[in-house]
Amino acid sequence: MFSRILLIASNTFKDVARHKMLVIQLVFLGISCGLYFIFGHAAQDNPQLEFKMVQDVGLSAISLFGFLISLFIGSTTLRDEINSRTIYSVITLPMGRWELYTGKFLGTLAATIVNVLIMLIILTLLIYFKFHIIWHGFHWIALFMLMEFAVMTGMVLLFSLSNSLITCFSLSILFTLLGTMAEHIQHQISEVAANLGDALAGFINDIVKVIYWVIPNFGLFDIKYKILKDLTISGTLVTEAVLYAFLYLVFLLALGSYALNKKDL
Amino acid sequence: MCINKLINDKYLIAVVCSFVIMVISRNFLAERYRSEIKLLDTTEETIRVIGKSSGAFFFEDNKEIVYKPIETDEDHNDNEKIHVHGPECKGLPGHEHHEDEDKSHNGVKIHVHGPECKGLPGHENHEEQGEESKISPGLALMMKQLGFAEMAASFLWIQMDADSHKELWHRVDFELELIPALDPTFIEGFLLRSFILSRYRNDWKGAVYIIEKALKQLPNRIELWEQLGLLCFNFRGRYGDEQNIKRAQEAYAKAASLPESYSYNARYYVQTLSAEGKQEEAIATMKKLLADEERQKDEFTHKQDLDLLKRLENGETFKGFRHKYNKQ
Repeated sequence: MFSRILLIASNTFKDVARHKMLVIQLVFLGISCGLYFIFGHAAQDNPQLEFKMVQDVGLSAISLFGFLISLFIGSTTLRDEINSRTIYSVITLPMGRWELYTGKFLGTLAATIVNVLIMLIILTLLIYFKFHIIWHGFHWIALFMLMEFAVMTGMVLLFSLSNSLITCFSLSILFTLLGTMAEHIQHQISEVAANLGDALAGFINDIVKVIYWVIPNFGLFDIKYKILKDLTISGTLVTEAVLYAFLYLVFLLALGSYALNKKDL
Repeated sequence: MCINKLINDKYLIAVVCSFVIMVISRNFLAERYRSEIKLLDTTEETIRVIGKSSGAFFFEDNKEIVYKPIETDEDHNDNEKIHVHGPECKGLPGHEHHEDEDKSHNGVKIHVHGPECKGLPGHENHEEQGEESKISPGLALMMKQLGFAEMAASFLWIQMDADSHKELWHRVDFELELIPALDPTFIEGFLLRSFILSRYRNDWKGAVYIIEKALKQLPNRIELWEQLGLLCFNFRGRYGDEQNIKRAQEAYAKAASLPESYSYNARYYVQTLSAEGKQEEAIATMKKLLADEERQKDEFTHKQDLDLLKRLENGETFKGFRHKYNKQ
């Protein structure tokens, strides 16, 4: 069983690596070269300020590219196989659909993680060569970013089972936005609902709470402020974040397997 | 029948079970995140800043904010002569902190444009004041909401630099207020805004308030403590008529205690002791500093320490507040 899953995963990873990885990395490399030069003047020859600007803009660029990578890789790996009907040659084999989905899921996750890791390494090297410093707290930011993109990719892969690419893209973007602004949106809706009377407000708040549980809360993976302030975070927070990311991935995996099983193929 | 079918659906059971466990884990993580990271939601602050200043941002003939040029002459209402620091006092005791202050402040280089720089390289755009800002406040707010607050702050800083070259001071004011609201770790935003308020707007209280606010979020940044000490000490009334020696003393003590602090912070602490009237304590502290082996290793620091001790022993007090100083 595991060997079958690993085989599908490695094939998926190789397929993504063959077609999509290099271009994205080249574009990011271009942005990094830009970062190397453009902030010198704006930072007014203050290396501390320039370092902060390069670091912040670099991390934000990785966030943006990471999302795009998740979107493009997640939406194509399984979908392409369904559209080109190559999936039929796999599902006729004596194996469960969940095994196929798990293999695809792991392969896609690995591809996204490797892509984001390469970008993080490029940024770290850029900072090292320009400022001659090893970035404090970098590993924590990297870990939390990787978890965020892993969840994002799992989510996109689930939506790629929908009938059209537009639906997949729309849902992915919507859920990513909702996940990023979850706390804020929940707070705003509660405030609006408070003016509608107790019964209705309670009902709306319950619905919002359920939605809030279902959507991935990406805000909980944002530790940049804490790292920039204290340079470290507690082990308990890391453990609980890893656990949440893992359990969310398991939930997505179960939901995806269920959806693929129900899909008329 | 239907329920039986659902119960026997192992995929569905897996979905429900994993969902419940995931929700429990999410709640634990959310609690931990709130307690440890103490969510600093500056969204409301950002919206307040944008709302308050949007007029200033879009209408250039805003009359409320008037740029006051740098005071460099021996002026002031009472025509008292004050000492204006310049290249001639470079190297003199007591001036080590003020050197190059016109060009740089806590590492942030400042160039104040004036009519005299018309035609100079890099000042070609002085008259092109009608150009719109590239980063609107709405875009900055949206970027913050999407998790790109730090990037928005960095781009606004670049925008602020460009606006200062065009002498759009109302925009510079607004951008310097918005940058720390977007990214509370952007200390250069706090420092430059505080410097502009104290030096060019005669708003000492506002400048101190900004640094105190920044220190609540970043209590371990030496630059902020140094700036607070500088403002509160207000040596020779450089920033107006107000002073808070006690707070300056606390600020320099804190700055000196932080790792990688500059050696002059301890000397400023001693000067604040002297300014407070604790001359003997100041001399005793200075002697202790002189005995410190670490400080002795650096020749320049040791020389400065010796100079200060000599001045203290000669009876010089650092009640450098301008009016009091001149009355002595």
